[in-house]
Amino acid sequence: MLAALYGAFVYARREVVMGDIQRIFYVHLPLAWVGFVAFGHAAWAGIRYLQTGRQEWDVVGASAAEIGLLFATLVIITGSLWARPVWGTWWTWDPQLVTYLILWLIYAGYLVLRAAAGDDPRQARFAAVFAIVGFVDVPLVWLSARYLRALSPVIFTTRSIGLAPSMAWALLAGLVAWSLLYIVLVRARIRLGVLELRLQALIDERA
Amino acid sequence: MTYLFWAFAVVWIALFVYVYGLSRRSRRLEREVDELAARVGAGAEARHPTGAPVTPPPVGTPR
Repeated sequence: MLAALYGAFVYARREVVMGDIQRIFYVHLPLAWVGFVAFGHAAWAGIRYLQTGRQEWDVVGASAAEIGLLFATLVIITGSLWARPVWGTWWTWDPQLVTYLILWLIYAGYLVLRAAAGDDPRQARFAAVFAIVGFVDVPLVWLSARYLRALSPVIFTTRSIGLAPSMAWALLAGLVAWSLLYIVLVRARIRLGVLELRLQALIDERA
Repeated sequence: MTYLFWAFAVVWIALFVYVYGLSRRSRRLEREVDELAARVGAGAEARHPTGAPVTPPPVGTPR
């Protein structure tokens, strides 16, 4: 993470048009990427839960979605802090921003559903389906930047990365650092969920 | 520079709050599980005076 911060603030050269404000990009894009991975993880756990009915998968799904939602919230905040000086507005109803907001709402809804499910397996299954269907929005966010005249810059194309080498390395360091942090966080959150299951099992045994 | 500062500050404050919350919840749950496990163990021993081993409850069985 220190390497990622060094890359963002020192190693990456200053962008000509936007200036230092462009450095937000080195935290904004990795957070968005890891958020997508987290939602994919939640959808995959939802599939496994529907296949096996094991509560562990429900815990994995909720853990991944919770961290994904945290990262997605930070993506929206950092995006707004970038947009204000660059576009002159905190928010605009751009196709990519709208599809991303829908994604945020879907997974916020998933977490509310799952919290309300309690011990009801039918509601837990419904929440798992919600997580799987919600993931369909991820490619829509990605594609909207390319095909729907979105304002966000398209960095990665099939032909090039679209960044100077120092910027590309700073971005890569950020992607690696935030991905590793996601692994650490999701493991800690899953452990917490398993403890909750263990506590519930003990309470049920006592009753 | 103000926007840049706040972007990174918000990210790190949010992460710190989340990790702190996780660690607090984790410590509280561990304590509760230990207390309940001890009580369940004591109750099971009272029901089995021969001292037969007590099998812990299964975790994560299908609902």
